[in-house]
Amino acid sequence: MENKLLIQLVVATEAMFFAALLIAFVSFSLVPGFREQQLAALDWRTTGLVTGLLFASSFTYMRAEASYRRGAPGRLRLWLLVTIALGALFLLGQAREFEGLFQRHLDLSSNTFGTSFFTLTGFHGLHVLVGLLVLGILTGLSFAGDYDRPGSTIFSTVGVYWHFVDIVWAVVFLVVYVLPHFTRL
Amino acid sequence: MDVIPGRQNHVWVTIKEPGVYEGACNEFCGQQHAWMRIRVVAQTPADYARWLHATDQPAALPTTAQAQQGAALFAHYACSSCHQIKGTAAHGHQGPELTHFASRRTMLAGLLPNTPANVSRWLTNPQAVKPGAHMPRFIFGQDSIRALTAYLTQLH
Amino acid sequence: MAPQPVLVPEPEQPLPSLGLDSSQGLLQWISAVDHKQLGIMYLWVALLFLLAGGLEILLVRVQLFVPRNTFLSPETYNQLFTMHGTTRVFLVAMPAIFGYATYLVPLMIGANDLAYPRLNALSLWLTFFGGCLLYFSFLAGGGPDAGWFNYAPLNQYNYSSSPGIDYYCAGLLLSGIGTVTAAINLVVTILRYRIPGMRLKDMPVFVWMILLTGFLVVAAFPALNAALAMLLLDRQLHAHFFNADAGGSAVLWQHLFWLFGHPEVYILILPAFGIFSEIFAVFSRKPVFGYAFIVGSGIAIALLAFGVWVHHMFAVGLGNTVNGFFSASSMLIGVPTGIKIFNWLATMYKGSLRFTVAMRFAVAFLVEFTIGGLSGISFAIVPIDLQLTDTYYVVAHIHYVFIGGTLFGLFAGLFYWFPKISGKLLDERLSRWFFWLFVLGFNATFLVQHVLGALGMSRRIYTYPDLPGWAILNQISTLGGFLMGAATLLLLYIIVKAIRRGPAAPPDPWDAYTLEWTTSSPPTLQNFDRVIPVRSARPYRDYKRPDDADYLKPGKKKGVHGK
Repeated sequence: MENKLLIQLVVATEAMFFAALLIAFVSFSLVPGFREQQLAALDWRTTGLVTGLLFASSFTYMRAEASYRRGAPGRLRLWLLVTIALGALFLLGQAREFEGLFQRHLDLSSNTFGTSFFTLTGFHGLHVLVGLLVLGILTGLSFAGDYDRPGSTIFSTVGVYWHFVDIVWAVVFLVVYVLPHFTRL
Repeated sequence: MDVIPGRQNHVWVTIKEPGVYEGACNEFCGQQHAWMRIRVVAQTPADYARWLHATDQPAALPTTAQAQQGAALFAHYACSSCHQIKGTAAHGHQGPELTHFASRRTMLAGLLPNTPANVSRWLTNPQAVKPGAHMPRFIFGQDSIRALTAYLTQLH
Repeated sequence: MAPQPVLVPEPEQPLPSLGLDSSQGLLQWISAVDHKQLGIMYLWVALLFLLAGGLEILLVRVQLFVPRNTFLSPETYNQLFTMHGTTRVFLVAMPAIFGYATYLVPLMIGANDLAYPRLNALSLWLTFFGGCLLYFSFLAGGGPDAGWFNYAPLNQYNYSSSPGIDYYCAGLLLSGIGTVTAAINLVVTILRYRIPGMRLKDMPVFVWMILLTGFLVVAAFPALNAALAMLLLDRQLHAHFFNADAGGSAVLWQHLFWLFGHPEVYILILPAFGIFSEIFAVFSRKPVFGYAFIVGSGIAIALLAFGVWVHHMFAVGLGNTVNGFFSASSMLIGVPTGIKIFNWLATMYKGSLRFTVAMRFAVAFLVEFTIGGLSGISFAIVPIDLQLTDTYYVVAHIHYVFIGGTLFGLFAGLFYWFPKISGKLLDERLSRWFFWLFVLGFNATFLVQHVLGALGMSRRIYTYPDLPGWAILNQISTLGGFLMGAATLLLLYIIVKAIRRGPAAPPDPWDAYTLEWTTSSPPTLQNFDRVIPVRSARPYRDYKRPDDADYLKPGKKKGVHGK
């Protein structure tokens, strides 16, 4: 019972961190010229695709959790692997997008858009990476038989973190990729 | 009120009596924050108008031989790349304007009184007087320093 | 099938108490996960940096002894005052607070350790290594020199090209992670590991304050972490968060820093309020007056803490509406603290007072912290702030609240809990000498600074012109500082002497009220075999005086005459 509280507090502190990065992004976005950059650089469709993959990974993780609770270790391992694969595809999609932007000479040091965009999405990507590492450890342990029988709080705890990473991305995607198409200053 | 790059701030000051008022930079600004002092000279409107008119005039022309030599050195030694003296070819904007330098009571943002001895000290080795100042050390000979001092101290 | 309990092997021999006298020596300390050992280590870290930060500021005070002094160059001076502030906040006050919390919270709630002992160890070592990284800067090209608040644009690479500020960012990020993990550990422990029967309203006030502090840390540190990360990106990867030339904003730094910085000062003071609540109660032989109001006002402070940060930025020119709002909120936040002060006075009222050294610090706190609080409220008024901001008036204010509040709390806690932690008693006579010397030195140093500030002396200046009154006031301040330094050395002597050959301490030297005093001095590894029943906020007193127990008088005013 205390592990849930632990991870909720961790998520709370990380949420504040992302809030600070988001506030910086939004405050820069109010300056004329920023929105044009945003629209020119970002494509919500391709990024929307990998976003869908990340959201799917939350569902597959929930399947993994359910398998664990039912004492079905085989399914557990399968769903964990699928979750990791979807998360990894998300990161690959991000990497491709960043690559494309670097080639167009947009990076951290270009302007405030580059600075705030890469910082916000970069830190999110790092959080996904950490999540994948943890999921990898869980997968390894489950293959070693540690999670053949239910009773541990580990999956619900990690689940809180993984879903949190998803929710942060939902907000970031909305504000950074979708919103500029609907606002006119 | 803070001075912040990228923002415009304003502050109103109401001064009731003419006089000289001391102030200082309060927001920590670097190595020489201690010697970024402010001196406000408040005058009656008539005196102020006279002062303003006098400030607009170009620099006094050097009359003594030593001061003329100093003026020549000033032009030669790239002082003009940083400092402006109205009425001469010096139009630099990196350092303070020196057109009426000799009329100031203090120098180096309030660090020292504006005396010939202090001007010479400064010209000899700026970093020894105010470490961190942006004026580089020119290795002047003694004669040059005397000449430059003579020139600067007559710029009323 | 229920999960098997994991049996952590316990060491055969008793824990080393304070020194390296156990047979396992240093390794035992390095591998420690027991909260009591980690708590002690936090306190040693705090003491080490207390001396470092003290040396830094005494050098500063020597430089300020006479006008136009040439003892220190401006570069060195700027590094010293920056490191003094940074050290005091992050490497003295925070470790000491977390040291007391780590040590005492499990004992006070009847638990055998924190919720996550290994995480606890990680927190300590991150805090310590973060500090080491910060201090390494002196060897690596110079310490940070842009002030502990490190404003943009001065913190940018083109204005501060020595690596000092990079070490500042990295060191504080590391330490900060240690602090946040410790806070989370404490919150989980307090909410989930209380002995059954201890309701939230039976918790000692100190535990409540740590709970609130934990939430403040979780909410406030991320703003600092974000700012530090952004600054590192600006400095190392040429990002543009804070440089105005490329569209960045120097004011963004200020907002993020003070969104952290203001809650930070409440993080620093709430635990001290908790310590004082314990001490006022025990040494007035009464329950703390108005427990619900003490706790409630603490909650109010924690919430309001996030609504006042712009009072550090009145001179930024954010406009009258913004300034007016934050001026009002800053005055408002004085009210819950005032409530606490009155509650503590009421606790003492008609109590049978015992002026142990801990209690002396508590009474001194009432005076000194009130002075600091009043000076703070005075420049919650914007026009006054515009005159006094960044002058020595603010320096006086912050030291009256930091020293008169936080540090006196830490000292009071030391004199109160030392017997429990070490099993030895501190020399009473020398401790009184320490109290008077320190209080005298402290007031001599900082009282005059109110005047200096009003006369216009700016903060953070490495020297000053010979204006009337400035020299003599600075001299008094410097002499006061050295007196504080001498008193601190005396404290060190008192502590070492007690550890080496102090008389043995009984388990309950003060006839106190809370659970930590039911254990031996020092407690065993396990803390408790069994915990006495908890039915009120003074369980040990109930146990010692069952006929006069608090729980026999529900809802009634308890113990006005009770001993």
